[in-house]
Amino acid sequence: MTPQSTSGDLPGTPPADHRAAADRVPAGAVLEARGVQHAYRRTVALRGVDLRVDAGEVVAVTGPSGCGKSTLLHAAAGLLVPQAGTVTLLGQDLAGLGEDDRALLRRRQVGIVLQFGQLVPELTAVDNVALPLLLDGRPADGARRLALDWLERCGAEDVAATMPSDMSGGEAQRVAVARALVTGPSVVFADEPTGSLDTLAGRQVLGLLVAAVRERGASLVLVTHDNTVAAKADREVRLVDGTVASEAVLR
Amino acid sequence: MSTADVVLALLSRGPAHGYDLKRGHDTWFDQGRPLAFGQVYATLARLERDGLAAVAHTETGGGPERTVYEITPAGRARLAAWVAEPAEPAAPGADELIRKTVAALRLGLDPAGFVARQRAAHLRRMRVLEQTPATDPTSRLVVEHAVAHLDADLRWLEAAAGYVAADPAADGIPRAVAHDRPGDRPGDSSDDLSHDSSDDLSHDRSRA
Amino acid sequence: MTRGAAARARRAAAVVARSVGGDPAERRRRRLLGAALTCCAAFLLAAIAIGTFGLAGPECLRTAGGSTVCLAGGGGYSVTSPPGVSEPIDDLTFGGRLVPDTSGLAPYVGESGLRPGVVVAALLLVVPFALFALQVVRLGSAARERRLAALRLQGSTSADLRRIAAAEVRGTGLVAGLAGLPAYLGLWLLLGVLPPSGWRLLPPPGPALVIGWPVVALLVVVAAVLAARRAADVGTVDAIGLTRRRARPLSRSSATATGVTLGVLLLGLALFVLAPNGAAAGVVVLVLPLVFVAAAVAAGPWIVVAVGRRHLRRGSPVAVLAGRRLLADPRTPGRVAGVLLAVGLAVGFAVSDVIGIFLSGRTDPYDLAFFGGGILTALGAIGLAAVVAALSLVVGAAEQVLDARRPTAALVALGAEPGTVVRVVRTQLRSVSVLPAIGGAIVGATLLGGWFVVAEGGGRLWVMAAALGAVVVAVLLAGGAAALGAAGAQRLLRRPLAEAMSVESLRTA
Ligand SMILES: Nc1ncnc2c1ncn2[C@@H]1O[C@H](COP(=O)(O)OP(=O)(O)OP(=O)(O)O)[C@@H](O)[C@H]1O
Ligand SMILES: [Mg+2]
Repeated sequence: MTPQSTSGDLPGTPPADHRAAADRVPAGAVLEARGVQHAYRRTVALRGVDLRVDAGEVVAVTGPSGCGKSTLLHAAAGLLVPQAGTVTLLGQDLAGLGEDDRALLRRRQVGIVLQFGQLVPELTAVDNVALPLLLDGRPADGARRLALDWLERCGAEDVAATMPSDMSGGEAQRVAVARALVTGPSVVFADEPTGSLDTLAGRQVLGLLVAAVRERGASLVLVTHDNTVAAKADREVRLVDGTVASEAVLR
Repeated sequence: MSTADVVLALLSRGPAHGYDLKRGHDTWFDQGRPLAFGQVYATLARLERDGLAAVAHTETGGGPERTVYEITPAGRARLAAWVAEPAEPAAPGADELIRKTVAALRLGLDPAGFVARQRAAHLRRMRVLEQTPATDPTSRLVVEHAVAHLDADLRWLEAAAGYVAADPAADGIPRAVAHDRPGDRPGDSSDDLSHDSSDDLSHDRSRA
Repeated sequence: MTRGAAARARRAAAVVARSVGGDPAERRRRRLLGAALTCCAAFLLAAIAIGTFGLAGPECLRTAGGSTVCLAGGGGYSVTSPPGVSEPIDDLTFGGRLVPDTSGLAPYVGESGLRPGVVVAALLLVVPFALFALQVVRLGSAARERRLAALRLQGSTSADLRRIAAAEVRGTGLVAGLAGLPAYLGLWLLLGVLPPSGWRLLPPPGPALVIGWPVVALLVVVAAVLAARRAADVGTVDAIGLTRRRARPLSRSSATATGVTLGVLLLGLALFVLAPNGAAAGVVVLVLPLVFVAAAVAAGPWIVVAVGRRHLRRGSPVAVLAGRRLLADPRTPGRVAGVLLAVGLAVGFAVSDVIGIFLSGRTDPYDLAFFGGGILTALGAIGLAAVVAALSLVVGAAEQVLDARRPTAALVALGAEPGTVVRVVRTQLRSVSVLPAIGGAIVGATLLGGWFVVAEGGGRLWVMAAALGAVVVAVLLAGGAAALGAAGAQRLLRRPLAEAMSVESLRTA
């Protein structure tokens, strides 16, 4: 079966044109991944995946365990350089960027939320949320004020001065969401953001994330194997064994 | 048939006329199909005939005449018995979804496409349900019941597709493989699964 | 009944300890522990060998002419001269110029009056190795902590955990303690056979080693077991069975201990200054270095806390992260900082001591060789201590880096350049190495140099200038060595750091 390509390409376009097409990213595309392939030592994780995310779109990437969702997310966020294919994030071809430039791009315009354990253990919640701003050279006072503001919006102001080891899973995820949003990113990547939480806490954190992203008009790529989480998205991209098995517009 | 029980339940809150009952019903099940007026009056008539409800009085304030009904002791007993009796769990194979899925998978009629389309339809429905604002606590419960069912359907669908893909011998039908390559089957991605399964699985795992 | 239960529990602990021995991290931990304990045992044996050397037989001295004079039983002496040499030997000669003839031993080992100082030096060299071993026992590996927590979860009492921890190190400790003798023999080959005559530091093995060997082995085992038992309760179990590392802030009792050590040190210094030639001074001068090192090691964590707080005030994200990490567990890097503080002090003393040589006016070749050799040997021992401290630093930092791999990878994911993470680790390493070493060098050189200037300088200008110069040289030497060590540690940490920063680390627990 064929991945239902949403791009305007004609079938059978030669690969050279593929790359040219990636260079002139349509105005609406925040992320454009084409033909992404990646293999680990023994396992082939991605066998040529296309993924396009438009501005303001919430896309769910679903699929059974081990189908390559996290690998795709890592490649899309520039955490991993895929062995083949191109990734254009916010108009920049990631393959052409050095490690530091990719870090800079993430710091300024990308938010990332993982399943758990992403907070710096030695820092309080406020300091964790302020960290991306501080790394960018913002003055500490302003950064902390903004961080507190976001903690409040995410309903985590009670743990502002708490260390990650003393937070519940749900509180830690709220802090992580605040940290991902504090820089005002254009796109947020979330890998099973509610995977370690029970349904109620998970629903609250997810609702928070989706609402905040939609309010800003940012895009969200939501990796999940939970159908109820996927149902929050505008579009579902389903991966099976490293290829796109189906895509569906849910809006 | 169970409309009678719901009307009885609504009536047990206090004397009411037909329009009150319809409104009460539509508030309780605000995602469901609204109760038709005709059905309300037919049901009330049947309840009255069976001695479960009775006419309390008739209102004639200004507009048309309206009959106010109230529940009888027999009606209360019937209501209590109805709630006490557990609902019959759905019978297997009674659902259109199940019939279609089994047909599509067994006949190999583009099962992957079928599953994808059905998945999209379910997710869309879930999304709509999740987005409707909760007006009151029980209507939220009704929505959640529907969402949970849709989720269960989706998981079942996934398992069914995987099952047929992994067991082509079922029914001697043409192989209903969801993908264009032999290795691209769901359920093949997990290593320990494919180790345990038949030889036929281990030798055709694709190496890219 | 209870005795049977205890025996069963001990057997169970041994089984658990053995069954985890196959884990590569645990194997590495035991190898490191074994190496450190072996070195401890070897240096303890060295102290015994040197300390008992004079007791073994008649003390002989060699004259400048090459004759050997040995003390005889009744207070007299016998003289053996090489053919063709005839020297007048009388009692007075002993006050003059006699070279100890002790198989070519260095003079400060050969002369009985100086020997206790060398014994103290050998004992001091045990300290960095012991701290290194303590570090390995304490930290172990994150996997070990999770294992202990998992055992806890399955209903092990803290007594069980202590028993398991003890069983884990008992075998290693015993092997290491026994390996102390072969290690000492190797050391003897290196320091007692190979060097030219007059430079040898270790006497030939004597019967004292035979008695000392099992004693030292037992000591090593007991110390290792006690340390392991204290370190068994590493963390708490949380809902998903992982440990939450318990924060270990400096407590009031550790403050008291530090205070007491510093008090003893001041008391000793006062005694020494008030009565430099009294009978007590002889003992004080031997014990003082031990107290000095103890005080430095006790003060180390407080230095780390002070440095960490200062980093926090600086406010840059790198400084804040480094400061927070230092404050999260000040003890482990604190011990290293303490050793390096002591190293700095020793460098300061050694460098300023050169002034003393010239002040004493004894500048003929023999004296220069005597003092110069002593100072060089001391610097060598100091260097060894510094290297071991740097290794402790690497082990501790690697542990912390690998333990924090997931948050580290997440830090990179959220947009920290890899260089930033590296700078955080570098700041951490430097704050616990270069700063204490330089501080120690300044204090040590100023103390001794100042003593020379005030007590013996007699207003001579060159003494003042030399004292200042000694401070500068000591700072350069200690600071440079510490910076070198920190850079080496950083290099050794490159792999674990890169591993922690890779995406793969996002997949770890
Ligand atoms: N570092 C690695 N080394 C070897 N194989 C790996 C590595 N990381 C992932 N894999 C393999 O690559 C495949 C895809 O992994 P990936 O984590 O992207 O899947 P996933 O869809 O995110 O799974 P899950 O839903 O369980 O998180 C899996 O088969 C996995 O075993
Ligand atoms: Mg994943």
